[in-house]
Amino acid sequence: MNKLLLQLCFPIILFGQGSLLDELEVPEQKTHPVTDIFKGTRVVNLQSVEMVHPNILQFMVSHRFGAINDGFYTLFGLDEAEIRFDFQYGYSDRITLGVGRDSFEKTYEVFSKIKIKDQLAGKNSFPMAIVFYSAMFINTEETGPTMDSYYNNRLSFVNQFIFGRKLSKSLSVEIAPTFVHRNFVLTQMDIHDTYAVGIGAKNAINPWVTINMDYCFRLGSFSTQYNNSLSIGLDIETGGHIFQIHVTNSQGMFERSFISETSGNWSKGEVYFGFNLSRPFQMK
Amino acid sequence: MSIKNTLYILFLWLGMLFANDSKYMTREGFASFFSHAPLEDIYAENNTVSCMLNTQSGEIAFIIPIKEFQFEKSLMKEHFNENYLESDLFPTSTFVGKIESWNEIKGLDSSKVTVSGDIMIHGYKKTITENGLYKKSGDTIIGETTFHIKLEDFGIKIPTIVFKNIAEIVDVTIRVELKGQK
Repeated sequence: MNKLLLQLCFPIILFGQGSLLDELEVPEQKTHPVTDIFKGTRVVNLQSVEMVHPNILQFMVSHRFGAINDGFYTLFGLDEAEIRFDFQYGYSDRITLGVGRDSFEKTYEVFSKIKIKDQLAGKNSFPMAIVFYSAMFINTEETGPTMDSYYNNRLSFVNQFIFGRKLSKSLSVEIAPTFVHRNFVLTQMDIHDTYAVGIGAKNAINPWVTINMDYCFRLGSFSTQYNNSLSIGLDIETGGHIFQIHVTNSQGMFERSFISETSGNWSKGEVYFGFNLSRPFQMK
Repeated sequence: MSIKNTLYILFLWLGMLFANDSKYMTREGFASFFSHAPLEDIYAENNTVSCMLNTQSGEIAFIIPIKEFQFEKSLMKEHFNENYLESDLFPTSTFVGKIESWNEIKGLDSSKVTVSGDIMIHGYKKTITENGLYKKSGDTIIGETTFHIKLEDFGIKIPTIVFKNIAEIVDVTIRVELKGQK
C-alpha cells in the first residue's frame, strides 16, 4: 500500500533507468557449499579439508630431499630423497579412499577421508567444513630378528578431525586435532600415543598461486628426541596439476612420521626441500 | 501554468503509472555456454535465469546467477567459479537494455529482434547489440538468443598453460519464457 501511494505521488522517481533490474533482484535464496578452501588435498604435509572430486582418481607424487645444511657436497640435500606416491579416488562428494607408499621404512598405507559437513554460504550458512581422516601405516622394511616376526609391531595409525574455514577469498585456515598410535616405538623413553593439534593456513596471491603453511603441536607428554613439524610452501595450480613446493623440517610424508617422529630442527638448518605434485584423472 | 503544460504533466504521470502494469517475467530461464578448444570442449547450463520485460517500453533485464551453472565435471565448475568468474565477488551477470523498434514489434506474434544494452560479467560492463527471436502466444512471451563473448573483454584471464583447453570466445545461448505479471 505504501509503495502504491509513493508511486502515485512520485511516479517518475520510481520509474527511473535500471529499475527493471532492481525489481528483478532477489535476496540470496540458496545455500552454496564454499569451495576451494585449500588448493590441494594437503596443505603441505597436513591433510586439508579438500576432498578428491567424485569419480576422480588423483595421483600425487611427493619428494623430500636431504637436509639443506648438508651443504654443497650433497648439493644441499638434492642427492638424497624420500619419495612417496598415492592414489586417491573420490567415491562421492563425501568419501575419498586411498592407498599410498612412502620410501621411509618402506611404508604402505591405506586411508580414508570422510566429509562430515561442508562450509556453507547463503541462506543456511555453516561456518566451517568438517572432515574426518583416518589412516593405517604398515612398515615393510627388512629388520633384525627382534621385531621381524611381529606383524603387529609394524602397524601405526592416525585419526584426525579437520575443521577448515575459508575466511575470505584469499585466506583460509584449518585446525586438526590428531591422535597417532604407534604399536612399536624404538626406545623405552618414547611413547605409543601422540596427541597433537595441526594448524594449517593458505593465503592466495592470485587465483593460481597460494602460500601455505602448516604446524603440528604435540600435546601432553611426548618424546623430546623429536620436534614439532613446521612446513612452509607455495601452491601453483595449472588447471589440473597442482605443484606444491616447500621447505619443511619433516622428511617423512605420512602422519606417524611427521607428527610424532620429526627429527629436523629449523634453528639448526635441518630442513628439507620438497614438492608434492598432484594430477586428477576423470574416470567417468 | 498553462493548460497545455498541465495536461502534458498529467499524461506523463498517467503514462508512468500505467507503465508499471505491463511486466512479463520468469525466474526459471535457461542459459548455456559452450567453449570449443583443441584439447577440450566445455559446456554448462543454468536454469535459474531471471528475466523481466516491460511490454510498454520494450526494456528488458536479465540476472544470471553464476554459481548455478552446472558442468559435466565438478572440477570444471570449481575452476569456473573460483579462478575465472570469481563468483564470490561477482555472484551474478546482468543485462539491462531495450528491444529496438519495440513499437512495431509488440503488435506482432513473432519477429526477429535486435536488443542492445549493457552486459555485466565478472564486474566488467560492456555495451552490446545482439539479435534474437521474439514470440508471443496468449499470456506467454518467448525470447531466444545466441551470441559470442570474448573472455578478454570481461577481464577473464586464461593462463597460457590451459590455453589449449579454453576458447578465447565462447558461445552463449539464452532462452526465456516470460509470463504476464498481475
